[in-house]
Amino acid sequence: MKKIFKPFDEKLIQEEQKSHHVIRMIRNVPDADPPQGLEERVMSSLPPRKTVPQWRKLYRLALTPQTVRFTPLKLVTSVICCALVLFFVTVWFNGDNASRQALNTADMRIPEAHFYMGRSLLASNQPEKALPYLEKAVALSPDQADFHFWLGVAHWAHKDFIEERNQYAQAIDLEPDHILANLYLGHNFMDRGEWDKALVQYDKVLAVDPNLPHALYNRGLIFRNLGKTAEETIVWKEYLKVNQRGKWAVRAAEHLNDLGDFSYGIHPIGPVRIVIKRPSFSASDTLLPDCLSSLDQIGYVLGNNPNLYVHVVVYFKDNHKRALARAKTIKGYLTRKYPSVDPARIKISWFSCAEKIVANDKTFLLNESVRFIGLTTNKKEII
Amino acid sequence: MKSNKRAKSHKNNAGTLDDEQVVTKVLEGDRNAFAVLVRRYHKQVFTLMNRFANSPTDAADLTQDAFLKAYTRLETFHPGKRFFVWLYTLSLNLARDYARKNKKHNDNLLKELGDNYGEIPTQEGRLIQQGNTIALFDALNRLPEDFREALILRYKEDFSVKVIARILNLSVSGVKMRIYRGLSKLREIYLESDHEKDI
Repeated sequence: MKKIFKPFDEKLIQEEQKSHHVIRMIRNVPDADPPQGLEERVMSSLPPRKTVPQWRKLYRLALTPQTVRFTPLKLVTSVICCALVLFFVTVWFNGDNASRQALNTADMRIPEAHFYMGRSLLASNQPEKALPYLEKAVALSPDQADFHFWLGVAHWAHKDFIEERNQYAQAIDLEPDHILANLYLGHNFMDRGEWDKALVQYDKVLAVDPNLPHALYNRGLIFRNLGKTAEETIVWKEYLKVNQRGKWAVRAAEHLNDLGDFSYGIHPIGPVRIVIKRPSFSASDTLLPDCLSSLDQIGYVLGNNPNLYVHVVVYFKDNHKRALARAKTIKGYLTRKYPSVDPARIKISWFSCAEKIVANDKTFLLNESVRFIGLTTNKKEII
Repeated sequence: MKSNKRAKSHKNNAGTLDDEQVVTKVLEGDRNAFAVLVRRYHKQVFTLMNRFANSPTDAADLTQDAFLKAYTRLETFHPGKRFFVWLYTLSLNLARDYARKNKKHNDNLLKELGDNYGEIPTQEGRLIQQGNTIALFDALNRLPEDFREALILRYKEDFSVKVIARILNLSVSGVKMRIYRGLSKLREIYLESDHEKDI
């Protein structure tokens, strides 16, 4: 291939050709001989070195080019190793947890390892991967009630409800008071519409833990489905007695109101709806103790939300004075118990019209009622 | 060619440390390691200084100054670069400073030649070669400093044009221009001195 030179390079090459003898002589010019002892003289003039800071060493290391030498064999070995590492890293980061975990636990004979692996996969919403681990755990240690229970949960997630039921039953055989196994077996029966069997299970659970909200609530639903209104009313009250917070409490109160029982009301307090046991009064219009814990919810919300103020609206049929007295009693209770709440944030009203409640397509007018309406000054909280 | 290999990262057959490793050791506090670099390069630095000073005593002082400066500024040497190039640049600057201050570029370089000449097999050859070399030294000495250094760096030290550009703080084309003009001037001076016939 013909080499291409720039014009000046060409001139330089021509000049070098002309001057080849001169160039040869320059190359042969000897170095001058330094005087004897110059090396020692130079070294003796050097001061001692100060210690170099660590960061400077690291900086130099970062700037220093590194040379790696490979024989062909080493190169091939390295390439194979890199490919393997790349493969495993890819598998790892592609979220193929099962493969990864299979690698980790393939030969393990520790049932707990399989159990917790299965639990973690269930928690990360991967029931199909969890199932073999939980099955392995049960196979390795069949006398563990918890293992059977969680295997049942994995079968439920897999929509294998028969096997789910079997596993819960086995867990209960091993541990008759296993609350979760009994509860979930109740759920299984309930999902299939086997109300009586479900009730039996929930009763067993409540015998161990009488305040378990899930069991209480589902019993209410079962009686509702069975059309047993008296039992249903009792169950909703039992449920609301132990749990007045959250959406399930609101649903329970709605079901109770549908049955014509207004002992628990749903009150809009700022951005949320709160279930409160309707305040009850003595003949002298003092508060009865059974409703105080409900009123405490109002005080608690007022104490936590400075933007909130509450209207206490009281009605007493044909008796404004008693309505006013009851309103004052409620405000007095709240301001005494919650001194940090400015009394101006609790406003009272005594209306001349009855509270109207529409439930189950029926309209009810209450002769005596207390309503709480919470309003907020923060626009973001207005629903 | 010999110089090129020498100037590159120096590693001898005895398996001693290369320049960069020595620099690292010195920076870690091993003052005595610097002796390796002095031993390796003091001759070239002395020759350079002698070209500018025309006095072995002054050249020895300048060589000492150059190594002292290199030692104290060793942190500024970038790993991955050639130590000799860095040392040479630093020494050349010192030599130029010296030349500017003294301004006595006398032409008695020839005095040194008789003693510093390499071995020649025969007496006759020795005389011929010595005569030519003296004439070349004479011509080199009469060249302006910029041309002379460019030629020596290119043909004696075997540095690439790029490296010379860095040492002399010039562009690559500027270095080529100096080499071209330096060669043509050197040839002119040499011919004037009527030595070409002896070559």
